[in-house]
Amino acid sequence: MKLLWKLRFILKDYWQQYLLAFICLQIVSALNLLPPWLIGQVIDGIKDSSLTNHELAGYVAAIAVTGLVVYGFRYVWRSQLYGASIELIRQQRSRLFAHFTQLTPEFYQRHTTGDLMAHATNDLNAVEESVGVGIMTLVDSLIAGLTVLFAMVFLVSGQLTLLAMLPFPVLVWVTKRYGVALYSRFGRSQAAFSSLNEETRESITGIRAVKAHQLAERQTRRFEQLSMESVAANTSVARVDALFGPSISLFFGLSFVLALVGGAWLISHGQLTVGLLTSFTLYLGQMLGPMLQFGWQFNVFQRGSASWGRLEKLLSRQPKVSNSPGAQQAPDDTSLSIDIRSFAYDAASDQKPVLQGISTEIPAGAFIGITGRTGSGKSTLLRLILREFDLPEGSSIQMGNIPLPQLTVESLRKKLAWVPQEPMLFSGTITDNIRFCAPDASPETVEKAAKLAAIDKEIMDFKDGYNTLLGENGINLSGGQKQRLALARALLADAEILLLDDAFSALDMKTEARILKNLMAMKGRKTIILVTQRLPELITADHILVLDRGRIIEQGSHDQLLSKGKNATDQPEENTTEHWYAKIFQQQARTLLQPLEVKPDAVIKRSDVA
Amino acid sequence: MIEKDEKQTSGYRGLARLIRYAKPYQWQFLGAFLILLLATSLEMLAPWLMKIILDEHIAPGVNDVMGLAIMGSALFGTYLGSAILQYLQNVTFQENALKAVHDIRRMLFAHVLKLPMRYFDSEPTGRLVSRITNDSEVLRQMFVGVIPAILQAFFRVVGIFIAMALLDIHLMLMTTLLIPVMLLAIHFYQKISHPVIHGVRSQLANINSRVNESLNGMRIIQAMGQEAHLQQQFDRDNEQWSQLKRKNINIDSLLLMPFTHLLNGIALAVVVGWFGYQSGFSLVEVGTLYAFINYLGRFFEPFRQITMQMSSLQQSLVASERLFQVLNEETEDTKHGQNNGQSKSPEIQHGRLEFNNVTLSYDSKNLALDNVSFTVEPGQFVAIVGHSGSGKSSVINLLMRFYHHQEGQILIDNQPLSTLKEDTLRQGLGLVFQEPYIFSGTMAENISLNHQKITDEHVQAAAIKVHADPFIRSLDEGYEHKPGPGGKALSTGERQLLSFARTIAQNPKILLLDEATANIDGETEHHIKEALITLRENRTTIAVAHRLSTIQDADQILVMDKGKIVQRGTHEQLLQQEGHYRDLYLAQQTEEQLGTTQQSDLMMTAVSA
Repeated sequence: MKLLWKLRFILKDYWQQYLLAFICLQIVSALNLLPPWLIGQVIDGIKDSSLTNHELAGYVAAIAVTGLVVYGFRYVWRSQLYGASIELIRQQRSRLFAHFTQLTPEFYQRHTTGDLMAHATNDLNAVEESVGVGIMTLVDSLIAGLTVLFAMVFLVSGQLTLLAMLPFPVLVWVTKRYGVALYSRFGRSQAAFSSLNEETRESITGIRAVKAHQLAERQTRRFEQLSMESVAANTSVARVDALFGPSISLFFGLSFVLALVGGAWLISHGQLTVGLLTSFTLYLGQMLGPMLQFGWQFNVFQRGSASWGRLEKLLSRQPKVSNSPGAQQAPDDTSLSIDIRSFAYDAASDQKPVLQGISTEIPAGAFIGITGRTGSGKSTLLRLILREFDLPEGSSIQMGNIPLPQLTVESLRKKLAWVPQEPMLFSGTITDNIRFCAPDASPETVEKAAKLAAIDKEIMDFKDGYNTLLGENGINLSGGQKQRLALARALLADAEILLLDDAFSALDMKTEARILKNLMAMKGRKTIILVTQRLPELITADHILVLDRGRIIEQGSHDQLLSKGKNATDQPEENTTEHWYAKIFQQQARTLLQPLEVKPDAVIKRSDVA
Repeated sequence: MIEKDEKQTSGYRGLARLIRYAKPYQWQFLGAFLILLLATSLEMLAPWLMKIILDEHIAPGVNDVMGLAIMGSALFGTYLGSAILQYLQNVTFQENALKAVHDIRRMLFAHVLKLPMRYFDSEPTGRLVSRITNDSEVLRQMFVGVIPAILQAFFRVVGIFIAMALLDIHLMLMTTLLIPVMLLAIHFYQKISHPVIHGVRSQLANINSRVNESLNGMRIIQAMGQEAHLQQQFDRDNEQWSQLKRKNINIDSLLLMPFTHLLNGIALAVVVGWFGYQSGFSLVEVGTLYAFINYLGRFFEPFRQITMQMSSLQQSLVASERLFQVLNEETEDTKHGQNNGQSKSPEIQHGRLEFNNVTLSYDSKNLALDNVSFTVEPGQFVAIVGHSGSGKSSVINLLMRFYHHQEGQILIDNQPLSTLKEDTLRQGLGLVFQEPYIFSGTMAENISLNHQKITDEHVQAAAIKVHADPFIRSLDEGYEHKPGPGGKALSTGERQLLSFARTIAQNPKILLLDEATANIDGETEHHIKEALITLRENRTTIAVAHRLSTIQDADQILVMDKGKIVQRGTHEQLLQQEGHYRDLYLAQQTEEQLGTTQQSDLMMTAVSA
């Protein structure tokens, strides 16, 4: 019930539909009183032999017409009431999705997809049930129950009603007791089922170990035991569950017997006719539904209420990054100026900063390389440029001398095209994926982007070419293909700044070289910020930042960094970061560049572009 | 259309096959049927008693109070009796259905564990788990929901007709007209609602998978500013869902509950009219009319029940079909059966291994192993290296008989691999996994794996040997500690040590190492290195190596590329040659350099914690 109060603002939008449904429901309940009463009249007529054919025809017609009219009103109230609940859930689901798209990575770091999916499915379902079936049964049991009660008292006899209703409170109490018992037993059976599930999952994920260690028998034994436990738990549920039906018919039967005996007494005292007693027993039959529903809807509302509580909490989460009042469009000048004193993902706890003392200028059209060991803060820097997180006081990133928080998020991100470390693709065709940020892009544009990302030939080799359907997250592609599709997607965006986060890690040297060549052709027109661990990619970079544990330890052009390390020894000692760039480059040049030395023209081409 | 029909019949055949699994409980089920029959008869008796009460005790005026009391008690007695019988019937059905489902489930589980590895490669884990647990749960619905509902409906309808015939044969015959109407309505409902219900479900699945995907890719969606576009797509799906769902509600409202009420109303009018008309010529007893109306009201209930069970039946059909697909998969044992008798030696004694021109293809298109030959003498240590996908793991897959090669010969102690008994093979070959697998159960059980020959002393001795003893003892209940599903509470290193102890306790002649020592803190890494040496003592060892630093003392290193052995020799020999091995070695040295930050960070947190 509390739930309905909480939902009042949402329900309000549908008040017309609900009102119409309630009115129809009331009409149905009232009309339903008619046939039993008419039957009672017919019976009395038969008994007194006073029934004329004309009257009979009227009664019969009235019963049939009532049936038809009730049918019509039933249809209306059902479609109105359930229609409203469906509409309501549609809106809430859409609202939830919109909310999801607004929440920032800070939120997604704390919540697993599975949990969020549970909100989007189970919780919404529970609310839907509450506002549909829940409201229906609540209102129906009240309206119909009271209407029938009214008829029994005023059309037949108050005394008889009182007598016949005696078993009902007991019935309500008993079924409520059953409900409580069922709830705890049901919990146990669910737990048994989930441990059975877990055991099965364990055996199947570990099937190699099961086979290698010959554990089939042991696992089957354990499975059998758990399955038996589940049988036992379910049996105990069944024993309570099976009580409902018989108890109801028993108490109901008692009520009937009381009505008959009491009715007989009243008839013998001339206070009732046989026909009215018949009407009364028929009314009694109509009470069954509302009585049952009344107990049942508590459950529905309880579940709905808990679910709505969770949804409300989720919907009240404010996105950490949003447009500030008076935010302006991103400027045409896309030079970046970065000045980060200190940044940690979780500022509240005393976490070690991920970035410290990062200060650099990135002029528009420059090619900037960022390198460093795993976990040195490279990706974080890109995330800050994307404004996935806002910087603390004292640190800032500016675009064209305007701090990022003063720009609208949309216009900022239009300037940026990001290729993440883990290429995330969507189900749909290859074309859809490439033109993700411009769904109306022409096939030529798509092909051009694919060509630049050196994936065009492979796409054409697929049977369906650009129309090849990708599974969830491009499951049918290799790692390298996914990376290049993600690159093509970013290139099609035609943004001023390209952010490449270790985007070529799964590619072989030849493909990598081709892509780099294509990218270099854009130099001057586009800012390219390339995060990589393969240093030869950075030979032509204008400026290179070497990060270690969140700080810049070296910076300069390739040649500058290399000459600094001239005197460094070949074999770097562990944990020294001095001349890191030069040392690693020399190592990599020996191993990684070997294939390039075989084909000297590749190197020449590179320097040509530079 | 024909295809669909065939599918249906195959589903029903599956159902028939399933019902056979209820055979051990046939007497119990038969008992439940009889109780059900009795309960239904009592139920049908009640309106009849009411008729008697109305006609003999109430209508003529109450003069026989005793008789009324007796009849009233009798009426209550039928309610009480039928309630008790219904309860007994329901519980008996449920209990035996649960047992039958348990049997099916157990058989399915045992069957799945015997399926060849190939099967698990193509079948996602989640789906298989769902077959064993969820689908069999759906079957329970059939045993306790569908079958009793259909039987009960049948009994009730028959009972009602008998009672009606006794009351008024003409009216009973008229009522039979309702049966085709009801059946037609059910059929019609099925036909028009099925596509709509299906549409609602698939649209909801679409919506959910879209939400799921969007949640996973939210960063890229936001970075590319596509929130609005996705919202549009989402709203379109959502709108379609709501339209279908509303259609569904409308169909339900037209043809389900309101419709049966309508029929009831019309039939009521006919009955009242008939009796009223009759009363003009003959004496009509009020009780008869009342009883007839009562029976008529009960007449619609069975049809409502059946309609409600239809979707359960559909689901059961689908589930049983899926179950039998799994059960029809051929298991491993049948393939090995014919060779079982030929094995000469119950044990692998020396541990000599030989691959002669072995060729393997997983998909009969690409070769995973291409004409591979090598020999390992007893006690030797051979390492296999190569890029991922070069075929090095295939050697282990073949030796463990996870897969079968197409050409060539594999010999263990000069006997063909295929002639070895399952027991002999599994005891003689010890496989240490890259990702050690921890089973639910205690630590001791994880070492002994419940093999009876391995006593508690063996378990401890094994643990001490590989330095696993100290950390096990430090746990809550020591060897009786339960590490929980997947052993997630243990560190990678601890899990690895546990699996080493397992292998030592098994004491195999041949050791297969699918070796990985990544992300392990300094102290454990040291233990693991030592334990690896202990493990290799007195055993033939084949190690699939990912980090070359761990195999420098191998007697022979096989370098694999694209399914072929391209180089072989010792570490020193191979380093002097130009080729894959040296490239791999140099590349790894670089990678190790790049990765040091992570390692030293880990060490720092370990120290500070």
